[in-house]
This record gives sequence, C-alpha cells and structure tokens, in this order.
Amino acid sequence: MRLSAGACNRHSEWRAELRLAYSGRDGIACDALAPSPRLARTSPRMPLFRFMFGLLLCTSVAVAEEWTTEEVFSRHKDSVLQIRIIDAKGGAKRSIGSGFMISDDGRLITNFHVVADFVHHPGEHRAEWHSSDGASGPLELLDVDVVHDLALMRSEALANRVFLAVESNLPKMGERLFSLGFPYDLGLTIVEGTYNGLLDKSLYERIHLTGSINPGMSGGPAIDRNGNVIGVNVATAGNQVSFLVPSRHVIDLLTRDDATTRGELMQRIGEQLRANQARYLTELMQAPFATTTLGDFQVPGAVARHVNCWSQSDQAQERLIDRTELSCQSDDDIFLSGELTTGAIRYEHELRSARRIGTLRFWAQMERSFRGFFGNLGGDEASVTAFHCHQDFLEHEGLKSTLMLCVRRYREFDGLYDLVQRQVSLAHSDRSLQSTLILTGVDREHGIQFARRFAEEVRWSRR
Amino acid sequence: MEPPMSFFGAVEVVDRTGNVQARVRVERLPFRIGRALDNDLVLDDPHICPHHAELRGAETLELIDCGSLNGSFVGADRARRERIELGTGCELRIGHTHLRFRGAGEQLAATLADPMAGSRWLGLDRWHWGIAALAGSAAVVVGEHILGSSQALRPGVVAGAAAPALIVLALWALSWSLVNRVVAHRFHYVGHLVIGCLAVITASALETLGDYLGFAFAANQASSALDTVMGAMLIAVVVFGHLRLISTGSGRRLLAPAALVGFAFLALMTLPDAADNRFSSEPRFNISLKLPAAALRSGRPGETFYADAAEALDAADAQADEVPE
Repeated sequence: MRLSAGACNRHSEWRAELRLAYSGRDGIACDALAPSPRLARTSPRMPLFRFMFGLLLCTSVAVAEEWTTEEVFSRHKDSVLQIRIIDAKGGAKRSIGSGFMISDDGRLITNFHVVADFVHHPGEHRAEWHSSDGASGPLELLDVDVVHDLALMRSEALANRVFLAVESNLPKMGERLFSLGFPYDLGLTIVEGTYNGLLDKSLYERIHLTGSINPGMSGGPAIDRNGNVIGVNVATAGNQVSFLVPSRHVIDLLTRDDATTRGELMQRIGEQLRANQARYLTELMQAPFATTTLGDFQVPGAVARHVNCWSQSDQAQERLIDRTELSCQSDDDIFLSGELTTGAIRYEHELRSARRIGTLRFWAQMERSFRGFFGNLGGDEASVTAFHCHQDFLEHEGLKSTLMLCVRRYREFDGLYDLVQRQVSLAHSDRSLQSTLILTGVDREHGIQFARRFAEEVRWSRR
Repeated sequence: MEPPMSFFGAVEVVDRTGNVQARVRVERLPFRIGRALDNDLVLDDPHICPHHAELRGAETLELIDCGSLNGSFVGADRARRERIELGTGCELRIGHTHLRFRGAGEQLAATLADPMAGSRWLGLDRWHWGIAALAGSAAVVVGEHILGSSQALRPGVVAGAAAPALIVLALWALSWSLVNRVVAHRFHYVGHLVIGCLAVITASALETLGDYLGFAFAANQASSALDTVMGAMLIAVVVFGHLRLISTGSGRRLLAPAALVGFAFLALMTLPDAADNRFSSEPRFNISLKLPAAALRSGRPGETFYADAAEALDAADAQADEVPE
C-alpha cells in the first residue's frame, strides 16, 4: 500500500515489538487455593465452579495481608509453567511462552499466539508444558479466544496442581502488579510493575502495565498484591510499556464448552473474527465520521478513539510537487499466525499539488504514486487467496474520482476478507487527493458498507 | 512491312519461383537441347539425356523428344509427349528443368530478379529519413524520461538518460546492416536505423493510446492484452521491414518468417504473465491515470460501483474454494 513509509515503519516496528513481547508469565501460586482432594475430584466439566470458588477463597484470604515479591514468587511459582511448541520433525522448540494453572483438573491459560503454530498445523507440531522444577508433559488444546489472544489447554498430568484465582475487577490506578513468566527461556522470573488502567486508544481491551514484560513471558499471569490474576501477559512496546489481556476474557473462555475437534476450533475462530469485525464496524458506522480538511478536500480523520492519526508535509525547497499526508491506523490487530494478522483499520490520504511541474508530468507522478503499494499484508497462499480487483470512476457530490477496490479471502475462515481500496480525485489538473483504505478480516456486508462510506466521505470542500 | 525474322524465338530457363535464370535465342533449326556440350541449349541437369530433345518445324515450331529416358512434358501435366507444339508462353518440363518458349515477336516484361529491389523499399534508405526518424525517436525517449522523472530537469541528466536507448537503436541497426552485408553485399544502415526508430515511435504511440483508452473505459486488462498483441504485430512488421531491406526478391515470401517472429514474441510476452500469477500478498494497482481520458465517461454512483465490485469478491470466493498448488 502507499501509506507513507514513515507510518508503515512506525506500525511495523511497533508490531514487531509486540510480537517480541509474546511470552509466558508466571502464575502466582495461591497456597490458600490449593484444592483439597475432594475438591480436586470435582467434575472436569465444571471449571467455572472451581474457578469461582477459588476466586472467592483467594480474595478472602489474600485481602488480609499484602505479600512481598519474594512471597508472591514462592507461593505461586508452581502454578506457572513454560509452554513449548515443538516442531515434530526437528524435535526442537518452534516457539515458547508461559502459561498458568487455572483449575485443578489440569487446565491452563496461555496466549493464542504462543500456540498458533500448533493450532494451524497440529500434525507438524506438539505442545508441551515444562515446570521450573524440571517436570514436563504433553498438552492438548481445548479452546481459544483469538480476538483477545488467549488459549485454554489441558494436561492430565497437571491435575491437582495448585492453580491461580482470577480477579475480574480491575485494580486501582498505580497498584503494584507482579508479572511472571519465562523470559528468553531463562527460567521462571518475576517482574514488578504498576497498573496504569485500560488502554484508551485500543480496539481490543488491554491493560497498560508499566513493567518489563519480555519475550517468553507471553501467556503468563500478572497478579495483584492479593495473589489474584488481573491479566495475562501479551505484549510490550518496550521501555517498560507492557500490555495485559484483562482477566474477564479468561473467565469468558472458561465458561464455554471445549471444542471437540480441530474443525470446530477453526469454526469458532472464524465466528470470533466475524463477530469482532461486525461489532467494531457497526460501532463505527453508527457514529458520524470525524472529518478533517486537507487542502480543498474533506477527508475521514480519526474516525474512532482507537484510530491514531499522523500527518506530515514535504519540506524540501526544491520540490516540484507539494505533498501533505495524513495517515491513520488502529494501533492493534489480531494475531492469526506468524505470517498473518487481521482485525485492523489503516488508511492514508495524500494530497499532491503541482508546484513547478506541468500537468502531464504531474499526472505521470500521480500514476506512479497510485501504482506503488508498499503495505505487505502478509499471509501465504495456504491462508489467503490472491487479490481480486474492481476499478471504475466514482462520482459523488460533484467529485469525480477513480476508485479501485481489491479483495482477498481467508481460505480457512468463510466469509472473511482483506480489503484494500484506493481512490484518486480527478477534479483538478494540478492537484489530486489519493486515499487508501485497508481493512483486514471483514465480511462482505460490513467491509463494503465501510469502504463505500469511506469513499463517499471524501469531499471537495470548495467548489 | 515487318522486318524478316532472323530467329525463331527464345527458350527461357525458369526457376521454381518463376524467375528467368537464362534466355537463349533459337536462331537455327533444329535447335538441340540436352546435357551434351554440342547442344544449342546445354542444361546441367542429371535427369536430362545428353541429347534430350530438338526444336523443329516450319510455320509452327515443335519440340520433338529424341527418345529420352525421362521424357518431355507440358507444364505440370504428367503425360509424356513425343511432340509438343510450341506457342507463345508455352511451358515445358524436361528432367527437373522448367523451360518456357517465347515467340520471336513477343514483348517481354522484366522477369530477372532485381538485386536492388529491397534497398528501394519505401525509399527508407535515405539520410533525410534517417535524421528525421532518429530525431523523432530521441524526442520520444526524452519525453518518456521527463514524464517519468520527479526531479527538476537538467539537460545533462536528460541527455544521459536518453543516450542508452539511442545507442541500443544504433547497435540494433548495425546488427541488421551486418546481416545485410553478408547476405546481399550492401549495408543499408540508414534504412535499418529508420525502421528501428519508427518502431520505437510507434510502440510509444500505441502504448499511450492504450493507456488512455484503458483508463477511460476502466479496461486496463484489455488494454494491456491489446498492447501485447499490437506489440507482436509491430515486431512482425519491423522484422519484415529489415528482411525486405536485406532481400533481393519478392516481399511476399518474407511474410511467413515475419509472422513467425511476431507469434514467437507473443508467446514470450505471455510467459512472463504466467510468472506474474505467482502468489502475491499485495494488491496490484497497475492502472494508468490519464486525466484527459476521464472526460470520456461519466462516474458511477457509489451504489453501482460497489454492486459491480461484488465480482471481485465472487472471484476471491471461487479461488478460496480451490486447493492452492
């Protein structure tokens, strides 16, 4: 895509850092929650009951005292495990992360991105848990929440192991949290940080933790001073800016029935993605678009709180064309695999005006700009189709433009598409606005509705 | 009063393309034809007897077969003849040699091959054409460079950018000239240069026209397909032109090799297209933006555009149902 190199770089660097941050974290072992043998025999199909019981018990016990970092570590270290995805042919690690015990029947929580290879290619990978005392065993996948980057797994060998309580209420601003996990495969580590509220500008709910979560800690727990899991380590932007998935999404995952087959699991992922895009695009469509002025044009600006916009102009004195750029994007997306992310909105407007250049040369430059697209959307032939495009002239409220819409479909998820739309105004011979919109993981109805609204919101403000 | 005839006519030896290789006057009778050196017409053909046939007669001439082994024939007729009555333009076949009889009073058209025919083709091999064509192609190359450049124009840079294309043109013409020299003992450098320059100018004009039409009618794919076909046709015409300059004979027999080169070019042009079909995770916005052409057609309302765009979604659906290779 032709989003500005600056904007693209910012995005890709940021994303790279997020990926880096994926790691498991350690769970706080709450001794008070260690299940009695009778409790451990509770039906394995009743995780919610056990979880609620544990939550109440843990809260009532833990409120009485505040633990030091050493106490938190020693109490909960047994509940936090390293998750390894092993390449079946090579026999070595493909990816690593962390996870924490969530029930007495051997269930544990980790991040979806930690086990993504295992989800997509189960025949070529196997999943294992490793504890800090050297024990290990195989894991099976029960369910995932791809939108919030969570996975629920189980190992019979982990039954009756101490597990952690989950707190769905958010702590107070500035409260101390402890994040646990296995950073860089270095062994179980505890990191102290501060709760800084939910991210305001995020499409997906995230807790902002000021503390150093590092690669390998993805999927580990972040617990409060009472020993309750507040969130799940998921990402970092570096410099102690880290992110957690709020615990309430763990509860949502635990209350669902397990998926029995891989087909059912993939179907659930598709449903989650479709529901997610329908939710946020419907919200966007219900409100009037925030527009901004770019030269003679009115264009969609920051259309939602979670959309971040940046602007820049060409400053070189000897330039032949004046160029102003406005690029906007949602700062987060959904990890599907190492090659493919989805669930993001990005768009860019570029206004170019001829300065010391004739009409023919100006339009030759516009053509070059139109043809250049540098926003590799990722994905391989097994996961998505090639792009298919439709191009024509669009006329809306007196503004004529050429519009090209390109779509590709996800092979594994029915009815989901990536959509790239590029539009160039044709109203003036010496200036033109080029707008590019990228929507990933949208269905026909919502994607086309949004794309049309976006194209029609580009207006010529002075006639 | 007509002058008395001092000869009876002429016998022409004709090659397979109809060109006359030799013409011998029949000044006395009998006029003997054969492989032996004591004949009046000596033919170097192993399928002819040393004394194969004779021309005889008074009012009317006849060819009389002298009991030859392979016989004498009229035109393409397979029936062997002992005597053949000769009229004006009568075609004969003995051995593997074709003969044609011409009467004494016949007016003959020029039938010998013209070794300079090619060089006179369209009068291309002239300096003033060469200079005009070179200037035209230089203008095209410079113009394309200027349109494609986003930098301020500096004469040195523009000339430097245009020079490689002109050098290639000069070398192209030189290559054909060398072939020309080997085959027909003449260079015709200017003629070959003119053909090369015209090809560059025409190709640029066709591409521009295609871009304008493709943009106006939202038919970039059709336009690029048309570009390819027109390109192949242009290549065929160019090859024909070069061969025509080289050849000494009729232009008709050059059509086939020129067409062959055109088809080969077409095949080559479609091969990279197949390579382009390799999977890409980026959309391709390979369309032209020719503002003046936008006036040729009105814009569509959003509803119509997005209804039509369903085709692209359907195409993606269809591909998603296929198993990737």
